Amino acid sequence: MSFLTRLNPARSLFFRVFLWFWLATFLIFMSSTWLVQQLDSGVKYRPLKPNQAKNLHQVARKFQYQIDKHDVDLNKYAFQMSKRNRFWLVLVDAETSKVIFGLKKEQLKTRQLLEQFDEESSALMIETQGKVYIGPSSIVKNQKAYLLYTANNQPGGSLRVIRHEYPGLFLFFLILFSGGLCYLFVRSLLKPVIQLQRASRRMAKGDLAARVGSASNRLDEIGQLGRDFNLMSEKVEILLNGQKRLLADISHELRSPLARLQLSIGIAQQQPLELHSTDSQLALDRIEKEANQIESMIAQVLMLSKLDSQEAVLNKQNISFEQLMLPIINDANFEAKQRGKNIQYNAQVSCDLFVDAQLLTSAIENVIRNAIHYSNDNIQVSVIQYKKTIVWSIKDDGKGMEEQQLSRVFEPFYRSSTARDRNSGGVGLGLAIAYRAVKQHQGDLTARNIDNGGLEVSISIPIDSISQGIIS
Amino acid sequence: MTDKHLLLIDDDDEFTQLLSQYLKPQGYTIDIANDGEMGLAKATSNTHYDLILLDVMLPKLDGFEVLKKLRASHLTPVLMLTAKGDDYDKILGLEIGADDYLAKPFNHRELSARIKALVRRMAMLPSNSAQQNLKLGDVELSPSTQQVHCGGQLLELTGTEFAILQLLMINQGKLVSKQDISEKVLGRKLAAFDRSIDMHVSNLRKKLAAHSPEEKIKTLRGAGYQYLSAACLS
Repeated sequence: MSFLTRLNPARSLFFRVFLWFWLATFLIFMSSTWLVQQLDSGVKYRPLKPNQAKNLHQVARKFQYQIDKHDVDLNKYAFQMSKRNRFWLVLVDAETSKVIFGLKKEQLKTRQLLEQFDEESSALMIETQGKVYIGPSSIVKNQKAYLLYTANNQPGGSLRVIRHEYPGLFLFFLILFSGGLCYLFVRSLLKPVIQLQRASRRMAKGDLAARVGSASNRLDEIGQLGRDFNLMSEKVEILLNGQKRLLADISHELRSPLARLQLSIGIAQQQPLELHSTDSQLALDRIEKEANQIESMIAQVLMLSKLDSQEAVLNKQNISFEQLMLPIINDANFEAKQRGKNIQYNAQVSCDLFVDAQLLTSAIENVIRNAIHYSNDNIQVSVIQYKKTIVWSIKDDGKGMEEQQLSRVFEPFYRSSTARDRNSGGVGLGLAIAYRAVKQHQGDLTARNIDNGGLEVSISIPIDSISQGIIS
Repeated sequence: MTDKHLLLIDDDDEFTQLLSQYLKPQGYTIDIANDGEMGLAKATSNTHYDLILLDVMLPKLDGFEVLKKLRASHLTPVLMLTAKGDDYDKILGLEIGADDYLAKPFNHRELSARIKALVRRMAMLPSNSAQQNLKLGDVELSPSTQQVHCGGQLLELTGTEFAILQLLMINQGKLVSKQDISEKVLGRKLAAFDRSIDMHVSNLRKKLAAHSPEEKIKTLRGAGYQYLSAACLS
């Protein structure tokens, strides 16, 4: 199907250009052939070369000899001779000026041509329609004179022969040949455009490192376009990376003053209680709480930027599925009970995993905690192994999400409720971190609304990438 | 009781000032070094320190180097201060011989608890039995001198390794969970997938194996460790 779409000229620049070129080449060829034919009668007369004359003379003498000696039948002997040699014979009755052997009825023009000569004519070389006729030379049988021609294909003219004898086949080859040429030509013409298109598509998909390759080395307009594209994508990459790095850098820099702040709080809280008023003690506790909040935010931002970087190091280890899930489910049950909600857990997986357990645990925990937060009463956690993938499905019975928000929930600092109430927990980094953690395991994290309300978040991780350590 | 003596090695001058101001009221005497070389010099001087707080990022000599050189001659307990978000290799730190680590910025209560655990760890162990010399097979442990002999040879153990070995020997033949070890020796709850205890036990095993061919500490996967009883050892 996709192949057919590619051939659709309305959709493919390549095929459109190709078709036009092909048609143009073909038309130009046909018209020039037609013109040449119009300007050229197609018959050429030339004097004989000595060896041709000698050859003709020998053939005629041999023929005459056979007639005189054995009284052979003209047609039969001419047929034999044509078979035995590289040339064939044409015989014309000199009296009636009719071809009696060697030409088909359809070869009307050649017949007329050869029938115009008589016994008196001197021998010539006659080129027409891809054949060469040499003659006439006269032979006599029963006092009747006949004119003899030797006939040959024009040298190097097998193409001509094809053209004359099988015009359909000739046309077919012509179309094929010009098609091949046009294909190569158009391909070389459009290759850089296709390179450009591929690079921009990769870029659109988020691969900021996408660059146009060899096409940008060209000196023409396309090369200019390629260089401009590369320049543009470089700037975009620098900008976006800069933005990410800025966030990480700020967080890095905030660590030292925050460490000092924490200690200062500690020093203040060490003062004997009677030096504090209750208010200032409360304020100190509040300061400590906020400092802790900032600390965990910084930790999250740094974790996020670490997972975003290419060289994120996973601390993978062998762990059984049970070992991974049991603590998560225990914690989740505890949390759900405190909120008066209920978790149903159902897992049909029993294999060993090779994963960064800490990272994956935090990812799964985060999704479950989110589900607990937004659910009304029930949360369903089910894990199945589907072919070569383990799929965690976490469903809640809450309100779900607006469709356009679904694709954005994994962006850093995105929270579905526009009012950023603290109660919803965190700052919108948890799911972003979970998403990247799963991606680092070559998996995928998706969210969708369930038909009868609620949200389903699926984590799928290919088994290949998480169980390769078992054998070793 | 005399004040416990701490050494802070950190290049953030204000931080070390605040830290010493914070710790002094808790009964610690504090020495400060602001670069790696000075830190190492102080740590290996005649002064006896009960604990060294060692930052990883240091001018002149980084924390790992300081620790490596220190461990060549001293078994002083070391708490590594790492920076959150850095690709700090916790495993490497523990392998070289750090006793524990803490990521900056940290809550002051957390720091206080860790220091207390590392400095006063011995007091937290069951005192009666702990004071007796323990002898199991060819391993001899003496709490009063903090020395362990294996096959007649003196073992160079860090404070944490000593404490873990002591805990395991007291409970010989019984399973001691990692959680227990962490709480009793490091003074903190074991976080999920924290490999600190595994690293310490692995170091301990290596040191024991150098002087004795028998396996003494058995791993019970996911659960904890067990010091094999004399009957099993024969």
